[in-house]
Amino acid sequence: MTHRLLLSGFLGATLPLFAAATVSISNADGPGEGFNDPTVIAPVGGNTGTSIGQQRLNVFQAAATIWGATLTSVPAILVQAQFNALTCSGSGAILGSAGPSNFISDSSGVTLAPANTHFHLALANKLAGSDLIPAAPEILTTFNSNLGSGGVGVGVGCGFTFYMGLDNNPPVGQIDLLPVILHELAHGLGFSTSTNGSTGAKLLGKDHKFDTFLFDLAQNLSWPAMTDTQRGTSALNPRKLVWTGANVSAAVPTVLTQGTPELVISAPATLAKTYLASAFQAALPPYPNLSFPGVTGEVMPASDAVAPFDDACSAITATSALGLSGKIAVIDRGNCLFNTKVANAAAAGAIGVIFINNAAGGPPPITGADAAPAIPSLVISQADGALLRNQLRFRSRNRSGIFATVRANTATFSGADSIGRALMFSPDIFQSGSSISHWDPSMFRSQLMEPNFSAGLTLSVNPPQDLSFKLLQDMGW
Amino acid sequence: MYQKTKIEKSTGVKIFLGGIVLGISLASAADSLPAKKSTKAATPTAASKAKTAHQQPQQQGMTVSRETDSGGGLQSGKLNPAEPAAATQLIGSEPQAVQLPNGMFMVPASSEHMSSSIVTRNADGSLNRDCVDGVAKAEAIVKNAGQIQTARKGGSK
Repeated sequence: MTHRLLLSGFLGATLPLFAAATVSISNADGPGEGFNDPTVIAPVGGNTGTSIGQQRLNVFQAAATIWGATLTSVPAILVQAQFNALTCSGSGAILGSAGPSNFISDSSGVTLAPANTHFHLALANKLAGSDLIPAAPEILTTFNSNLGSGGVGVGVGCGFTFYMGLDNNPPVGQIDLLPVILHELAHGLGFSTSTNGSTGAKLLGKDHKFDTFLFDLAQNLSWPAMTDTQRGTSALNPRKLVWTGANVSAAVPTVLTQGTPELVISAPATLAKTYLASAFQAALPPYPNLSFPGVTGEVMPASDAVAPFDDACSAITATSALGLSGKIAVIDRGNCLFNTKVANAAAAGAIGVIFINNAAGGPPPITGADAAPAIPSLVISQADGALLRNQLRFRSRNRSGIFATVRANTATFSGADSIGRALMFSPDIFQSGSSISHWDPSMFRSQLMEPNFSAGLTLSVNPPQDLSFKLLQDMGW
Repeated sequence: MYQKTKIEKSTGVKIFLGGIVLGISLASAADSLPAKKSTKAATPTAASKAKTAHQQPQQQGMTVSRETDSGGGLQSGKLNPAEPAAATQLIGSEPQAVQLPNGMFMVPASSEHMSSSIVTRNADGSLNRDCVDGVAKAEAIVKNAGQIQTARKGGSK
């Protein structure tokens, strides 16, 4: 037994990576499982491992190498990692979890400033210049061993498969493990907060360093200056929460594309304002079908002959087309592909499309398999759509009196506020459980630390591709 | 006393053992080696046990204190060593702060401070990959994935 454990201990190797910071992976798996799974597997995408366990370790090492080459820290960063059987079904699976092992605060504020503010252990160590808790790993992480690997285990019990390659080139339908680990390690390094995103409650009454960079544009307050209730409200107010760190703000023009999707309604006066919107991500940049000044026209619903009649999944009726020609179509989300809806509206003579989301929350980016839309198109929230639908009840056959512009506001960067500060994810519901520990998904180009993993993601954590390290630099890295 | 363990594989990567301490912890942990994977979390392997966040402070003579929610007064007392599974069970209970020898305070993170990446399948077969806060939320979303998949962000419909 001792022999087996020693073997496990050695296989549980902490492998040093010599870079600006040493990020080591501590294998917490037992013999024959997880990182030690001996199942034979073919090398793939630059991963030379010939067993599932070795390939898993190689992917973790690759992520550690990227962060190690980016960060500077005298104390080593130990990542305790393991693969366990986590939830996985045909419709969904947990890929993996990660976070800091401990939060550290300094009542003097000398080493960790501000005083009495939580820091992730890894960052606290770096700032202190020593390992504050030598007995503890800095980051804890667990990934799902139920997912197949590189073609082994596909469809067995779970139906999802990790791509184990290191080349950022996963086959369609496989989940690229490396960016997932990169993302989760960023959370463990400091890209998250100890403050409860749902309630706004601070852990033991203390701010987290992350919170000190959060500023709410609606309340005109920073997070540390808010009550719990105000923080809870702030976390649920889309595109009103910005990151004030200087490093991120300086990098925004380099990383993000100019142009923010907007719906501007000019009449009637009861609806006149600029509405939050999202666009086809595949259409970016530089918004080939969504530009400035955009298209302006009267708004009319697009109706087809098949229930539900407002989703434009079938050809627009002749009667509806008469009123829609030369105008901007309003279409409900759902039941068929976006491109099908856009094509039907365009065929009926529409010059633009406003999609109304079919779920609560901020307007979601339109991702998936759709290509760029044929005419300018964007999505607004379900709540804003309800206002629009309500006004449309008073239309005539070919007039609504609602005038709108569908455009990309090129005066701002995609995913930043009017003065170039990066937007944090603060959906108007606690959408999918994701929170302010991510960038707003309106960012383009796609960012590693968005709550969803978008197409076009690279393995870089630095400008000009990515803002992740800049945020960590603001934190003190 | 404990040093970070850095082990070299025979393929040429350098080995830095924690020396005697690691050897001791490997040996002492031998009897608790989990026979089944399901017990792994409650009985960490040597590698994890050698550096478990929640059990070492007492061994190093740290002052163990509980901070009030206001961050004010401290109540001294003993902190029971907690394995990772026990730490998970602390969710919902009042966290404890431990004062380190240098005067700083540490608070163990709980599973609600973990970020979880999840995948869900859309009706058209495409995949959504999201990161959510807290293991419990991730579990709930994945288990309900079939019911909400058409309304989630990132879908193509």
